[in-house]
Amino acid sequence: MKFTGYIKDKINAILAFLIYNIIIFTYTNALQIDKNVIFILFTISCLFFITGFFMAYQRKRKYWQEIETILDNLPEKYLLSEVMKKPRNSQDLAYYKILKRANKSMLENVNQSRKAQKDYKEYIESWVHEIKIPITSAKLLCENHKSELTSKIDDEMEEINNFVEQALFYARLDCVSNDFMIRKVNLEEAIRNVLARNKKSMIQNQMKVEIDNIQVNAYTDEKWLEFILNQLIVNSIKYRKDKDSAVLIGTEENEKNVKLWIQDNGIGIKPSELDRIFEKGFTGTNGRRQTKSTGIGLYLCQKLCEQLGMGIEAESKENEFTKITITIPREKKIEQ
Amino acid sequence: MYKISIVEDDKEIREELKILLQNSGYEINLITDFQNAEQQILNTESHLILLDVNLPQKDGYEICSKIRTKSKIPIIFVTSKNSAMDELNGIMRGGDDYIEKPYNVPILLARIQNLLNRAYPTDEISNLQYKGITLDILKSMLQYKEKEMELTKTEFKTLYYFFTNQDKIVSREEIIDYLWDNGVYADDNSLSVIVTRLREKLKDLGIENFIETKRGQGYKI
Repeated sequence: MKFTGYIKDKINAILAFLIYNIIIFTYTNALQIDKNVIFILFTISCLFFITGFFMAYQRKRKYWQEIETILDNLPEKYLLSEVMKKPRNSQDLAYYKILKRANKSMLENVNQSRKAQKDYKEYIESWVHEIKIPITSAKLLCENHKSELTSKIDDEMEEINNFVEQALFYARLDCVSNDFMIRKVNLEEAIRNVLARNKKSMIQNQMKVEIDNIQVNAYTDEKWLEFILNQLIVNSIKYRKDKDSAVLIGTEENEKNVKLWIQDNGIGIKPSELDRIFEKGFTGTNGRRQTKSTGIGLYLCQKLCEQLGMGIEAESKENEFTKITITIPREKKIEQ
Repeated sequence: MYKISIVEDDKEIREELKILLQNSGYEINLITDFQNAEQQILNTESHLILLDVNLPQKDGYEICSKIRTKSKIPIIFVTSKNSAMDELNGIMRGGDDYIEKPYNVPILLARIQNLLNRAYPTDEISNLQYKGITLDILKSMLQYKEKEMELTKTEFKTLYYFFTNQDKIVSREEIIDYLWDNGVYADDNSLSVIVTRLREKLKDLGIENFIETKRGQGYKI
């Protein structure tokens, strides 16, 4: 609260005081009372007024400062009225009651949408769980009745499964109750699982795979990591060049982290678009060329990495390569 | 022959899984009455259980706990629930492994095989023999008339596939597929290189024309 602002607020009182003094002055002057007496009376009344004025200002200022401190320390600012002291001043009390009502309605709304979000997330989780059953049977049917047709159906099923997983992980984003478990993960196993998942399309597209020094452990959630790696491998397949396409997978270790990189020799990313590939819904030139791009895969990768305390970055040269590096902690971080 | 019990409420998955595992050389026992699942499983004396978590009358965790009070039989949870909590729950109840639906078939088969090997270790590792040539599985070596030749992992896997498919023509696709399932990411060109190198090594041992090329079909030993 600024002093000038306070003066403006109290301008009526100040004016009233001045007018009152002018009247008294004129009146007492007319009564021909001693000038000195008038002067003393005037000074005393001014002193009283100014002291009162400053004390009131100080009290107000302290009051507002207290509220502001509470507000600054409160993570959920909308809970202010629950935390602040009940004021004694009748005007402040009126504001306090208004604030309380407004906050209450806000709180109800927040809780409502939290519940709606939670319900929706739970629905998605159970939906994903349900849809995986027919996907499993269809994939088993394809496996047991191998033909050119079922092989194609199997490819499509794998694609459906990938989209379903995206939906699941999307629903798990920004959720307070995280569904991950950080533990020691063998990176080689995770990579081999992901390669096994993509075996068919990689063989079909004659993709070379080179893996180097991946017998490394790091601390992360295995399922989340595999989901992320799968998105990256799927991208390497999708954005390959027609001939001699290859994927290189390797790691580098330093004291704190393991850097796991996946590099392909595909069509690459334009320098102007490289900064935006992790944005939600960003498809870029390559994405638009490919009809199946949604701009969700890499966005999810980045968000999931963030939650797991991992880093993700991309390097690319158009028509030459794309290299995505994930930084995974080597030690378990102590959660706060 | 190992016997596997499948506890799964979805009929289609149950039946197809049965065919798949039978084709891989396992004897299958299907459980359809989930109320007394644990008793039925214990009665059949299976070697391994594939246990679904979500079942109509009770959940798989419960069945697992009950079995664990009486038997150490390997249990693999097979479920479409894939949160970390679900997996933790499965392990706490005494499950040995946890596989998500939809499963990748080679991974499923490998996990089953691993668990069986661990639970029922066998001492005898039979070396493979064909036309007087021995493939030593432990040392990953070729032996022929007192002579020995070391093999790389890739060469060994390829030769192993040839040895287990004696007298059959194996296509290049089949071999590449097998190699991928075993962690060797070969493509068409690298397979040609592998076969050429194998032929050279065989020649050094004094064996010629062991791996025949069948034009347009593949290879045969």
